[in-house]
Amino acid sequence: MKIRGVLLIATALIVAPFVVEATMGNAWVRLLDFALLYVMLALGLNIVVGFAGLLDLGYIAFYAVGAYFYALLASPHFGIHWPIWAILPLGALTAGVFGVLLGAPTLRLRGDYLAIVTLGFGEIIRIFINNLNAPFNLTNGPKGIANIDPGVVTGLPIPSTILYYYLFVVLVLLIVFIGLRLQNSRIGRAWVAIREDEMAAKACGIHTRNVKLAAFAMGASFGGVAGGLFASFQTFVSPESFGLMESVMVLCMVVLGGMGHIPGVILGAVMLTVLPEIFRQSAGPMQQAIFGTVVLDPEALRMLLFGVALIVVMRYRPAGLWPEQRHRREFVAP
Amino acid sequence: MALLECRHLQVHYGGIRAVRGVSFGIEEGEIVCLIGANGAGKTSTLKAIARLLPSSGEILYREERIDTLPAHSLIAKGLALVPEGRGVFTRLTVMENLALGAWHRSDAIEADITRVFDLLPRLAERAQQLAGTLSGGEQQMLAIGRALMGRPRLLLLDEPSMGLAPLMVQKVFEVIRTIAQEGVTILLVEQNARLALETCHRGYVMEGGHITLMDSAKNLMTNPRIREIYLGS
Repeated sequence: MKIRGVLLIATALIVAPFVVEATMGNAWVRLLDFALLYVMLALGLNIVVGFAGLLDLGYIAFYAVGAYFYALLASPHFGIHWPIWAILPLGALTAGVFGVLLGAPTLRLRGDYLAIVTLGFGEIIRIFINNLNAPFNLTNGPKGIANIDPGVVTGLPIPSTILYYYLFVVLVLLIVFIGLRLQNSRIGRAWVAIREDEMAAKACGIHTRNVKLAAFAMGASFGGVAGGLFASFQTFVSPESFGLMESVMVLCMVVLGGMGHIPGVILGAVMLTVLPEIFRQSAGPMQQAIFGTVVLDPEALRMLLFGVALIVVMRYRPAGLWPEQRHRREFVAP
Repeated sequence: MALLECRHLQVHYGGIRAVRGVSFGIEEGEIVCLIGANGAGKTSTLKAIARLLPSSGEILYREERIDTLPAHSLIAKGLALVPEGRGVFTRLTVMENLALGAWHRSDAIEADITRVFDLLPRLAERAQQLAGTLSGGEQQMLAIGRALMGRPRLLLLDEPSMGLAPLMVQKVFEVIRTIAQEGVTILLVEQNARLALETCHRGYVMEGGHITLMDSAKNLMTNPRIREIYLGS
């Protein structure tokens, strides 16, 4: 039974891009690729926010670090052209180091204070990237870095979006595997203990400082991998891809899906990537059909509906759309 | 040589001195209580010993200075704290809470779980329940059980009777006596002075951040001043 389920999921994952391409076109395969990138980001943030309970509003900074790390080492900008398999692990490591850099000064902070500091950190990274074109041109400033080497072989009869899809799926599976292992590990239990009661966690002999830093580093490294893939996929990076709104979006995916629950987080990420796009494409024609003209700009309407959806979900499913079983019990009134 | 000794221990909160230089010791096998009114500095003293609050002065445990050590290192030395307000991990099961009590250990914990369940049978019944769904008394039992998972030599108990029904308080103190009989030294901070003195060998009275009196529990029980202020008779 279980093996059949796994086979079913595996088959679905394998044929999905071809089906999507045949029925909806290449643009939707591209969207699917983005959904997978957001799944990686959401799973990384889930470690920090969901497992360890540390509210991080600057998470996208690690995505930026990973993306620029890839861009600098595989583009004409410095004339360096490393292969993707060499850059990704190093990018993960670099992002992890940045995670520790963020974590170390914020160890004593919790909740809203931590949120403010991480928010600041996210902005600092973005502003640095935006301005590091002088005195030495490291990031090429607001113009961004273009002509980044693609991460997959191009020129094959199969569209590169599909190749990226498989690359991303493999890495998502790897990240899910690591996430599940972490959750059931000694350190995973320590994260949960810190989330629940830091003082009691210390009394239990948990080295809270190191364990928290591990959460920041782990989460950041997932973000770094996603960033590297993003750079290779887009073949272009610029600071505007890494704004505060992106951090907020990833946080929404985690919260909406079900904090601390890996399947829920994946669901949240896929939904929040795909649904707005469906809406964006259908809102205009739908208004055209009903009113004969486009009354409201689909882009503005999208944010409105997104906000309403968030409120509705938080009102009726405060633990998220697909929460952990135990979490659900807790939110149900006795 | 005392198992635990504090020498001129002081705790500050900003400009407020909560503990103003207290010195006391506990011998191996004793049950000792710190009694006193709200704000006398009892909990601060206990938290300082558990290294959850910065302090000045010396704290010696088994003749070793522990005031320079981080909090998380103490459990491995056999010094466990049951925090005020219980501090159980409410969104984890009873079993997971107990396992976290042995977090620092890498050996098998099954025997310790059995021992805790023998001592606290209510926990065995509720092993798979979330700690947050337990009653206050059961949570207190769980907090004690979790501390025992670290195999302590010295158990620091902070207000174990707080917020519990009288019958539950009796049960909790029965458990404390049983643990003491098994050879664990206990330092108890308690506002319920009568109950504390009935359980302990010796008691220290704290007032305004100072220890103002030390005597055997029996003598404290008959001390007219203590009777008037803390025992309400």
